Amino acid sequence: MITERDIDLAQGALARLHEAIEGVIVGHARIVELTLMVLLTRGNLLLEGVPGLGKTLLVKTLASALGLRFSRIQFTPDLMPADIVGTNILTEEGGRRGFTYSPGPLFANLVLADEINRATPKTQSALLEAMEERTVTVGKTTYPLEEPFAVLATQNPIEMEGTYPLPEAQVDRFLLKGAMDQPNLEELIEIARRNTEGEGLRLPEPVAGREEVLTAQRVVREVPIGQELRRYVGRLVLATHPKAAHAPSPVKGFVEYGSSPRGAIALILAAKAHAFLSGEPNVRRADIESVFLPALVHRVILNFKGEAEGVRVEDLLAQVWEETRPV
Amino acid sequence: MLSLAVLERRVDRRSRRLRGLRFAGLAFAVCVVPLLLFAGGRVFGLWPKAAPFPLVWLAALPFFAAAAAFAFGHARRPNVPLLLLKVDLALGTGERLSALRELRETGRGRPFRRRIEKALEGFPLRLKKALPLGVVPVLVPALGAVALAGAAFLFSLEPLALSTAEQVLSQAPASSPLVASRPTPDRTSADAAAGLPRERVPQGTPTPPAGKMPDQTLDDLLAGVSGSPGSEGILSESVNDFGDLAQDRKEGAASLSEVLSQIEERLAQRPGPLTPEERQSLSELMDQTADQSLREAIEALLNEEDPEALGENVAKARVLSEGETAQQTATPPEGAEAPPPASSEDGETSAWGASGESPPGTGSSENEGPTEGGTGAGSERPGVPGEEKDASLVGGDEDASPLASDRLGAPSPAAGFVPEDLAGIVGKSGEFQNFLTKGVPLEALPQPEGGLPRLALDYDALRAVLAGRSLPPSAQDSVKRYFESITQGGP
Repeated sequence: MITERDIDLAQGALARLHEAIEGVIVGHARIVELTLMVLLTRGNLLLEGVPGLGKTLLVKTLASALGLRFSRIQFTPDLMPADIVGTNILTEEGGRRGFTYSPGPLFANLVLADEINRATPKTQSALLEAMEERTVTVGKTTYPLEEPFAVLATQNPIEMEGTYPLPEAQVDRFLLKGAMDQPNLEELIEIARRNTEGEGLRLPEPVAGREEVLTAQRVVREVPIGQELRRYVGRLVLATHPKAAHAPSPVKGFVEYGSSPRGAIALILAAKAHAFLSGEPNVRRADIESVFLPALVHRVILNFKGEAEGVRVEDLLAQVWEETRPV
Repeated sequence: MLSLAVLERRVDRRSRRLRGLRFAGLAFAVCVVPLLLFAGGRVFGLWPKAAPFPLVWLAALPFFAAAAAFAFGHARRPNVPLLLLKVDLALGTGERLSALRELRETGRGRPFRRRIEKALEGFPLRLKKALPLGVVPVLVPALGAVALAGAAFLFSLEPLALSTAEQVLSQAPASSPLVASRPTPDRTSADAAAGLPRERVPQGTPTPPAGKMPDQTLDDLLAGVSGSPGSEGILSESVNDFGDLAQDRKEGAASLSEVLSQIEERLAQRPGPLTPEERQSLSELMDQTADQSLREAIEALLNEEDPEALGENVAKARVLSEGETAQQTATPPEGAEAPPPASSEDGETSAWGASGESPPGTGSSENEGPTEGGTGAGSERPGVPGEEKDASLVGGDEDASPLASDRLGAPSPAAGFVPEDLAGIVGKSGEFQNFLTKGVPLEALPQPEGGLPRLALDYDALRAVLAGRSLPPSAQDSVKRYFESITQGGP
């Protein structure tokens, strides 16, 4: 049961966090927002963007501002699952030898899985349990991950050679997907200024703690959403299925698989987080609209015809949004 | 402070009312459509002009349907959460009403509930804006009302079918056998004399000069009627019926002649009384014939026991039967003059004869004479009691006059088929019909001042007329009942 104080506490912490991030990260307001959303909803974020746009800096800043543990894993083709989840190593203690578990970089609060599509599917799938169950199993032992936990994975959309596209099952486990765009001129100038003057970039001091994040997570889940608005979300998700009666004709023509039920969960959770970040006491249609694309864009799989004709999932979803009315 | 329960009740009430109005509007409009179709169909003659039920019931139907639909729509329970979302979206409340209801239903998120209520404080929740009346409850009944007015207007129009019937009669070619061998009175002067309303006089109905009409058979009449321009839509069914009747009668007459010939041959070979088979055949055929004299001859034949007298009676009956057969299949005699074509003169003259006939009773119809040959049925038959009784009133016979003109000293015009126009009003709607009659024995009565002319019908004369026609007794009764109904038993 949440209280007024919990709400105030969470909102205060988020306001300070926002301020701290803006002091370091120039631009990318949308990505910052998505990152906070996944943090508040215990989700994971898939980021698409070329290297050098500040993804690592964003995660490091967030971790620093919250006083959380941060780890970065650079995914490469030779990366093994044990390299990320950890392994049992032979140790000798008091004359007795035994195996001791050495946690991998996955044991952190914020994990940046850089260029995740460069690792083999075997390694990628090592993330599955951590992302969904918040546990890691090595041998016969399952280790819980510390809350809050979030994976922020990145993909390089231009260098696709030698990469392993994420399997659908893994993609579905990302609550949201966002794209980091190039900064505009003003932002670029500001980035250059901050990195070339004085002592350079300095990560912020913690402005909130782990407890406040957990409280915020509980509060967000309690943000109310109307019954009919929830039904509306369901109809939106079903409209991404080619076999749905009310699906737009392009969806019927170009989509192989629509969003899974995780899409509806993601849509509602993200909308709640968005409403909370916006200072609203309940979910509005505007909140759903704001997270509609990030929540569903990676869950809709085009068929051969759609891919051959270069159909963009974003366009299909825009049509779904237009044609599905709440009342 | 906002009371969600009160708001829900208001939303519920308004929604029910709006849905009731929507349903009522639709029901009203839907029910007006058949009314409009009925009225339109009546104007275009698609069905009888007289409704089988009072028209006010039909006019009240949309209102009853609207009331029932309103009750139905009002009774249905609305989806309140959906309505609240509608209100939210319409008023821009940020979907707070829906969320508030959700919190109340789940009993969770009390802090959020207070925040939402605080945010809604002072927010004008105008339900009229959120749940507007809409177009349907206003526009549809309005269109329905317009359609209802249109239907009322159509009901007030004279059905086109009647106009067309008039046109058919007026455009009937002068050679049409429809025109009578009866003397054609100059209705212009007759109406003027009688003070009849002129609008009741059909214009352009040509009437040939009396005495120049050939004998008419039922086939001729049917051919003339069906051949008239524009008659197809109106007369097709009747013509078919008459055609069937004529065919039956032809066949009956031919069969009778054949049976009589066989009996004659049989009597010549072996004299004796009629066999049961012969009696049965004769009885059946007697029932089918309409010729009174032939019926009597066959009846005498059936009652005759003496073989010699039987032979004579058979021969007599055969002659009559062949005459009947000849009548049924007769064509106009050679040299019979066709009636003159319709006059191109003004309607008053052309309506009642281009040859300047005078109306009966005016004493100016010197040039009218009896129809040459008269009707086949009347002129070639042996004496018929009814005809002999009062030949002057037998409209269908040689020198009979349907009106009392010959009582005033005018020459008796020949009877025939003429279009009769009722000089008065029949029915509440003022509809009138044209009748094809063969000299109805009407007598003009003294006209009351300022009133319509009065006519008297002589039933005995009419009976004689009918007896002179080849009409079966049952049909005669029908005709009698008809005239009784239109005159209501009066003169």
